[in-house]
Amino acid sequence: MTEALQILFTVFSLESLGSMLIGVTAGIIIGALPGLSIIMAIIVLLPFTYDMNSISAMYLLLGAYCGGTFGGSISAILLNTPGTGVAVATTFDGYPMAKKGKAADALKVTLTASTFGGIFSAFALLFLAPLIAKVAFVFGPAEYFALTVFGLSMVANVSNGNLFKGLIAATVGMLVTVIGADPIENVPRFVFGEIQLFSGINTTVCMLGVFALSEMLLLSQKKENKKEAIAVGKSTLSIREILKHSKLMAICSAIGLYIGAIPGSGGDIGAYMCYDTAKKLSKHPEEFGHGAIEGVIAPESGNNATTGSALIPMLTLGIPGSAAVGVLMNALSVHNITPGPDLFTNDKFWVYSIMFGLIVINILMFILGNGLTKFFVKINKVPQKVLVPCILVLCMLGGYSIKTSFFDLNLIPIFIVLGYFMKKIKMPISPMALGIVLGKLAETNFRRALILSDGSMSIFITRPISAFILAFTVYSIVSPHVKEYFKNKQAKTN
Amino acid sequence: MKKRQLIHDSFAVSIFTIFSLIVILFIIPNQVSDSQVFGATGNITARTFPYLLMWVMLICSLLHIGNNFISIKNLTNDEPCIPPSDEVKQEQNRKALRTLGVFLLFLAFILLFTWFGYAVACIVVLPSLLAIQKSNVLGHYISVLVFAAIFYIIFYYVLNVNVPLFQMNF
Repeated sequence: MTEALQILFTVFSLESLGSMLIGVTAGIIIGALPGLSIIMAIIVLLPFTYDMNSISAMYLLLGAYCGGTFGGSISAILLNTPGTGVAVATTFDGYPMAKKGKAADALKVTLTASTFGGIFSAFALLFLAPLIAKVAFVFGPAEYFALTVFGLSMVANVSNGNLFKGLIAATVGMLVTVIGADPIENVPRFVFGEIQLFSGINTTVCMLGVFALSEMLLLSQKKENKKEAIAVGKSTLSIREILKHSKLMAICSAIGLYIGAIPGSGGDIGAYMCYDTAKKLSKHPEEFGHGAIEGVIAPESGNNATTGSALIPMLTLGIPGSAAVGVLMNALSVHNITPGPDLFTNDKFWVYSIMFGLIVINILMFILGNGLTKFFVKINKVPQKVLVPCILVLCMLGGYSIKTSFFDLNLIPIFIVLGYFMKKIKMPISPMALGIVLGKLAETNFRRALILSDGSMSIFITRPISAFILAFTVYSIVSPHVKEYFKNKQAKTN
Repeated sequence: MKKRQLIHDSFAVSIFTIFSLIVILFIIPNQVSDSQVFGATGNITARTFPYLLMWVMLICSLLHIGNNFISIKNLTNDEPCIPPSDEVKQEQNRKALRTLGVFLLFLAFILLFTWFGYAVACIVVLPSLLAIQKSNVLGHYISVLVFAAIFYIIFYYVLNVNVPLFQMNF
């Protein structure tokens, strides 16, 4: 009882609420700007957390994560240009609704559905995560290695159909983590006589270069988006009227929840699946694509429902569910918090504070979104030209503040070139984030397991849980190809 | 057209093939010690994981290139490659130059920040970045500098990061 009260006091403390508010606001702003992603919102905010306690830091970043997921739909509705990838499905009916003069209604529906999905998944996280953590508590190095292999197998899902390029990107990410002293023998690797490299390359520096600044190089090439945003009038819909669709919201939230918990399947897939389901369930499917309210509710509740469920594998198993959650996980390492089942016994207070906090973040997102819609709409008018110097300032201050050293800043150009080159040759960069997060974990557990087994590789298949996870990994990689093979074969015979 | 794209792509990915070969043959043997503190791990040393990563990179890049060549061979009706018009070429060159300019300004920011401090870096680089993007609105210049000042205050006074405003550090 006292613990529960303590958690409530922590969640509702001024520092926590302030962090959440700043995180949500920044997330919505960055999400609403076409060209800037949710990952970038988290990376840009990460340096602000170095001086914070780990709970407030997570609130700030989770706020950005949830706010960014919602923010992407503002430009999707008003400009027909999704601010983030997860808001693509919202354009299908959100923009037609706005064109009919119902922009304010579309934004209100989006906000309500997003909050519904977010709170739904936050509750699911609260109830499901402890159960999964209980199972994971018996895990040793062999099981953890198997889990990292499973996590890396999702490279296939985030490679945009180019598995080999995705794998190369993942190895580049992992290569960054092997620079510095090795985790078992403390042997220096790839330090080239530079003493500052002995402690390794700060992964935040790498992400600032690859994900944020290289994107700015690409943004500087693009022509200014001269689309005029549709004017937002007054909403004629009440929350009660929107909540009449709560059955659809619940169905789509459940779909989003399921999709989000599968590593590698992010909010974009969840949103598409929900849109499709809503169309099938609708009594008026012909209205879809022409401004149907269900066509906005479905993807929005679906993509926001992935926010909480994507945290389930991260908090319980230490495996990120998506690239954005990978960046969140990287933020945890800055605060010396190792996600995994141990959190649920050693740091119960921390983990429950985070899970309760996620519910409050979604409520705050609703309040902010309702009160400041007109302000967020104006964000779309910020010219791209101004964004480049602003992001540069944030990245440089962030890169410097990691260790208040210029050495980290000097590494950033290498990663800008790397990120730019990868994007230019259409190499997916999300697998690189996974490689960065999982690289050290994979190596450390691989070698620890081999120490325990006197160097015998059989440990990975003789321990039942490890063998099961590895078998499941193989199944999840192979089964889609086998299904496709048989489908093609059947199509040929027909 | 597609053939040309596939060849370009193969060349780009071959950089990773060359890189992995260089790391396997030269960098790992020179930069990673082979000592075995934990004899129990058998042949698993500090070199094992880097080698594994580089072999994966090598194999994947070769497979990707091989895949591209198979696709080229299977191409039957490839559209003829129409050389871009002078206007398009000029636009592409302009874009490339602008990107290079922006990157050099990023570098300049880092150097100026290191040598002279945050203020000098912002005053020189941020307006230059707007100028290179052909911004002629005074408001943009002012707002960017105000933004930089606000975030300096946040980092210095709120987050307690000792960001040097002016310095001479060569």
